[in-house]
Amino acid sequence: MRRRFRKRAEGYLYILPAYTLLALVTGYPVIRIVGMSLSSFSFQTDHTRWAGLSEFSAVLASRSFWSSASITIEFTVFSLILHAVIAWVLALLMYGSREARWVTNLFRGLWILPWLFSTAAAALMWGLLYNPFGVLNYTLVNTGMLQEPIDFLGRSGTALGALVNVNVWRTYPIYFVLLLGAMQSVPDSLLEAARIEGASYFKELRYVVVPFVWPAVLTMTLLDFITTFGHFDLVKMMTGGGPQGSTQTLAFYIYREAFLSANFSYSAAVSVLMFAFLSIFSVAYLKAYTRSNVI
Amino acid sequence: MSMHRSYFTAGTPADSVHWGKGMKRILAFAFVGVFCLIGTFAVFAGGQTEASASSSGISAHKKTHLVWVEWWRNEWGGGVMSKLVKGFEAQHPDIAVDVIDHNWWDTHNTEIAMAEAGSEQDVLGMEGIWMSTLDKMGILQDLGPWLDREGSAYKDRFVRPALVKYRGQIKAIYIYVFPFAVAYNPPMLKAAGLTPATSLPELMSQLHALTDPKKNVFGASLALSSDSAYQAMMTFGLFLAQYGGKFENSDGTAAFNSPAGVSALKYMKDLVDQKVIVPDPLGQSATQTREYFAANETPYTFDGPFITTITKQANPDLVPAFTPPMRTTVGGYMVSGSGLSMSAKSQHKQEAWDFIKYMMSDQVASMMVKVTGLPWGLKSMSTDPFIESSPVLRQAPAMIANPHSILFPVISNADKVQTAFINNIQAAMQGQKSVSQALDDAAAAWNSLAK
Repeated sequence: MRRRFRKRAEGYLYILPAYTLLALVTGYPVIRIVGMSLSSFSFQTDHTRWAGLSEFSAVLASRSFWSSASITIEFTVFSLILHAVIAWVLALLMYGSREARWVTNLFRGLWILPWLFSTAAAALMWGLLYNPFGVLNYTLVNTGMLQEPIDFLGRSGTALGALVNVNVWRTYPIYFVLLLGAMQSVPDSLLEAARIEGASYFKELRYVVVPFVWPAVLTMTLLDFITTFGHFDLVKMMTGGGPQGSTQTLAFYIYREAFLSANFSYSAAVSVLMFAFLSIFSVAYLKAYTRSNVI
Repeated sequence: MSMHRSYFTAGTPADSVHWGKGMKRILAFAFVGVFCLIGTFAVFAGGQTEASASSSGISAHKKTHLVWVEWWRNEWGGGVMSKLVKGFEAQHPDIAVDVIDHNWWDTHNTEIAMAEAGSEQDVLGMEGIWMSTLDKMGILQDLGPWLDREGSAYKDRFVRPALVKYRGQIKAIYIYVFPFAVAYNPPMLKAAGLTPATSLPELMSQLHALTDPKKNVFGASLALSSDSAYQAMMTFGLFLAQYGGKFENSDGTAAFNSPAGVSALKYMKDLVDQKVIVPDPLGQSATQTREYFAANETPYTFDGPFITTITKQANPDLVPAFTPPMRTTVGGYMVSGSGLSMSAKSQHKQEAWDFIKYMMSDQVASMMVKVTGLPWGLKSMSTDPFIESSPVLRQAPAMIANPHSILFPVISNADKVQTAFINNIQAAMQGQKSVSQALDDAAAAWNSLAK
């Protein structure tokens, strides 16, 4: 009995440092945010009082919140679709390539190049490209595709699309690299068996490669969804949520409320709602994924 | 004997050897972890102390550390900031100034974040538009009693807009007070055979003459992006004052949805619709408009006197100038300032006040007006010979003193009011609302938020 306890204690002791660190860096902020969302803090008296769900009702009654939520979903869905399409096209091109090794390596390097740029550098570069004096406008005007230069970030109708474009450009390589890695890890024995059975290239893809990489794709999509849903940097750096709030994502809305208006309880309530949505979505997604017997 | 069973079983001599090895390994990990943590803290804590102590020969622990949060290093340059701080530290050898520098855009949220985190900040760089948030957080000290203690003669040294009141108390002192005006590029205007415009209609006709959209050449640019709401309000305020309007009534309600306000916003919309400014100003930030101006891409711009130092950093050859005081319906200008506040939670209020006094001393004012080109908020500055010689500053006293000039409003919920304002201006610019409807909607938001 004692021996078994000691054995268990040994295991717990090993994971204790990691769990302590996790509790400090993840658990504490989450608990603090939930606490903030349920309380009201007076800066004048340094006194916190219980506010119940009042901040949540204020959030749910706010038009800005729903507009930001809808923009976030739009931003996420378009980004995800484009990430997937571009990554699949490039990965399939690389996978089926019969070119010399140096050629494939060169293209692989070129395609992951955007990943090497920091978000700030990407925002600066694309900001200059979108500018009325930028190369993009110069080309479009001189080829007659535009009558006059426009600022893609300065119109409610184009600003969100322009942001999605930058986000896709900067982050598709992650998806592409993981997908290509998964494709290249398909065992040769499976591919050879398919070829012996007379499978064409497309059948090989359809019945061997895709089912093999599918679990990785689903995991990547979930991760992509979570990171894109919480996207903040490009909005802050390129549009400030405008024009007319047309690019104000939930993450930027939280920032505005907390750090420009000092409404910490309110922004904590928005954060908790966002966290709850992402958690529910992730659990539902993983359940559906498990039920589909893909793994 | 299996290894996984052995670490905590000390029954046999062999077991005790394994137990000892396992424990040693765990302890070694624990020591390394603790050592790393201590090392990390030591590096950060040591770094701060070193940074502060390095500014003078006196050892750090004997000094009072004064934390100054500001954004001016980017505008004035590191040399000027260093000279300022060293000058103060030379006068107060027992005080070390720790400067926390950000760009203008991030200073406000840094101050809020520091206040929320309980971090020490003694002197805060301040704009009128930021005051309501920081006051809500209980951060802003009433400077009235500190000024009273210095006597009425001391208080009389300041120009009228420099002592900034919010809810009846002086919560900031604008170190410089400026008119928001029309600046121009003298060589570009000369090359076009034009003299500076003297009214808004004349400016419009000059912009037409200077613009050729087919060649991507424009007379000016406007900053109407969402993150430049302050700049947009200042520009609108300039036009509003020129047409004889004002932002608010004496009871604090909105007054800009007036015929003068409609003329001002219509003028702004005409600039966009008649294509005499860089297209799509809703995507242009204040930084971009300054870049266009500094790069000789636009001969006119709407800005404060800091355009001189900002332009100089990008294009040292360009010395911009303000147009002589304009007169449209009347000759008013938008007047604002940037200044310093003291933290109500500071542990070093006397030192903070000494620093504010130092910044507002004649000696510093005289130096700063020369190196920064900013009209310090002291009456004595209007007679400073440098002001007369500066193509920007020589126009400033008359613009500020004009009876039709309006002060930038210091209101509550300023961030939300500002957001409502810029959203309505943007709606008008995109033709989604009429000019008067946009102003009425902005005024309604103002009246419900700025209580």
